[in-house]
Amino acid sequence: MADAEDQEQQHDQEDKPQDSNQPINVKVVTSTGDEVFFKIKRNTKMSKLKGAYAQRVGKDVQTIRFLYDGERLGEDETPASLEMQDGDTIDVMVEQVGGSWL
Amino acid sequence: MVESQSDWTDFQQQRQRVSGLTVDRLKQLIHRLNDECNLTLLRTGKKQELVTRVQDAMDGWYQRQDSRAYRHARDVLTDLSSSGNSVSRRGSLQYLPPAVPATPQVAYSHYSGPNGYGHAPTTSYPYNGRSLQQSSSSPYSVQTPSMQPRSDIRFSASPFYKVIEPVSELATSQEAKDLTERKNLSITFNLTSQQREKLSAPNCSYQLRLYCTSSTHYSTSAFGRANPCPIEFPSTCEVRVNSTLLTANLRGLKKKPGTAPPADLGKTVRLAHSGSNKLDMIFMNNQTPFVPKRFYAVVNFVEVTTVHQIVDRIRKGKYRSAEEILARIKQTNHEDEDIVAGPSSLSLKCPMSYIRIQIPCRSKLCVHAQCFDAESWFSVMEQTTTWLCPVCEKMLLVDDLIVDGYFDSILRATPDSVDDVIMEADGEWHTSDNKYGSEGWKALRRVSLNPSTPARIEMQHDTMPGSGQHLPSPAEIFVIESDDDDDDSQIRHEISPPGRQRSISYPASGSPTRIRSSNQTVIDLTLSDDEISPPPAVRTKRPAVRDVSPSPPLVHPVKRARLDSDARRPDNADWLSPSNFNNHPSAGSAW
Repeated sequence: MADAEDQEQQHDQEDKPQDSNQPINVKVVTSTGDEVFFKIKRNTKMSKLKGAYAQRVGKDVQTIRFLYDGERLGEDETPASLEMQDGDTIDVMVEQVGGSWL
Repeated sequence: MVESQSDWTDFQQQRQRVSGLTVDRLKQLIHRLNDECNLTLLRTGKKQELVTRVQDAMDGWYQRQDSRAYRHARDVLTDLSSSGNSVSRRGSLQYLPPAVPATPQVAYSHYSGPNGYGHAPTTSYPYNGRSLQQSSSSPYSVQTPSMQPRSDIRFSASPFYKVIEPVSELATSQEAKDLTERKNLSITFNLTSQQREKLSAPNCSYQLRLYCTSSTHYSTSAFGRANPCPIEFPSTCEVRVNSTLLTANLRGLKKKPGTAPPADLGKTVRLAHSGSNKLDMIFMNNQTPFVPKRFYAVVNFVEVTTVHQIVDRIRKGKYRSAEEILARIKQTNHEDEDIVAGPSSLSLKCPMSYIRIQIPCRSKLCVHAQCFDAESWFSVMEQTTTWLCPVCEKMLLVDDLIVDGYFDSILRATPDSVDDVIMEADGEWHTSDNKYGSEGWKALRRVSLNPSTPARIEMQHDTMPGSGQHLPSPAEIFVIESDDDDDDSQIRHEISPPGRQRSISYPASGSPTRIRSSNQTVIDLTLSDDEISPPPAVRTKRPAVRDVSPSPPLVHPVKRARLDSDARRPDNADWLSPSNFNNHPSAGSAW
């Protein structure tokens, strides 16, 4: 039993997300359920992730919004500042066009 | 040129006046200058951009000492700044044809007048309400110099309708003064015997369609004709042909010109020999904010291309091979050390129609791999001609559309029950349950089972969408999802949730894999293939069954345990129950 544990830990580099700048995997999900996975460093700014995502899906970066835990993400936030865990999900929203104040 | 010298004395003052105009006036100014001085200034942009454009044009005249154009602009300026609504005058008889340079200067004197409302209604608009005969000698060639030859209006090309010839003159409406004013426009047309013959043939591919645009897009000037006009019907509009109300969609999207198809006159047209047809369009330009517009309408004889024909043409002519597309995917997949793009989901359903894509189509300029169904897209575009990509919402050109061979290969490799696949950044793909995958991915999976490449396993494991529950795992955690990685399909389907189909996708790769991965024991091959009695299970404690460990070495003892339970219990219903791992097969305890 102990052997197995040791062995596992040797191979288990991914599972120590607390390391300062260990890359984590995040999932970017649209409202329609389309998913894109990214592996990003923990101090990479969200604006960069957004740019990469926008480029990947062919949308204008201005038209999309990133939400994490329901909160809008700022440009300068990072996975570290948001205390993201490996495998966390970011929701993408499309900017609203039109409408007016009631 | 003595006179022209004095013309320029107030040049700076006039130049300043331009910047004092409101945006609305500036646009009117530019419109008139374009029309009357043969300019090609854009009317879009911020106010300062408009001002700069006009001032640049004025500077140009100054440099060339083009006093005629300048005087004219000055008149227009005076006109605009003094009168509240200069627009109403534009429909007047004195509205000038584009051939401005040849026109005597006197003609412009009209614009310096205080207002233009004084024209008698009978003369104010020559073509309003006039029914136009199809005969080639148009009466307007004499009366109105600004009447255009009929073929000169060009509408935005549509893949569905090819304009063969207009059957009516271009009818023009007057500008409405306000939101509520009703306007009327009528067209009378006769068909030639050839046209009648073509139209009355069974399953003919010809139609009569009403095209309409506004002065926003079309003007009588050379500039106005330079660009094809999008179809724009008035915001409230009723069309009757021979007093039958036309039910065609004339609206398109609100405030988005070019989103309505030309209206099919269909059965309302009299095809009888002598019959002339009368079309009445009654409308209000009640769009807010109010923009005075004239509307231009013409009936065209068009050849129709059906959705099916277009799709067929694209499928035959624009097929891009899977290799070509893959090469592009790999090429665009540039490396950035901060962000590594992982896999993404690719829906096999059309984002518009939500049916499984039959002909995967996208623009060759689109960067996304997601396609839409060509037939669905064209069917929608036939009704609402936005030409927007349903994936990235960019405007597409039909000529850019391609059939994506890579996407097609996925469609062909998966049964209809598969709705989406996971596409790796390098273009390899597989289904989320790993039943189906690209050749490259299958090969990679085999390799990845080799213990010498744990990193690869890690990555692949992490990218599985099903591995959301993947946690840092102590030794006790049992492997479920990660055994997707060891290619043991027989095991995998066992642990799939009930309802998933059983399948053994990679039977060939299973056996060698097992040999390789189980380097501690010597059991597996015979075990899985012959289902003879297994060696004793190595491990007995199995907590946290649904958790996942990405660690390959952990797999071996577990797998061995599973294998033996496997071998004993073909029903597989409850292999997760702890008793199984102790070689006590028991059926019935479903989980």
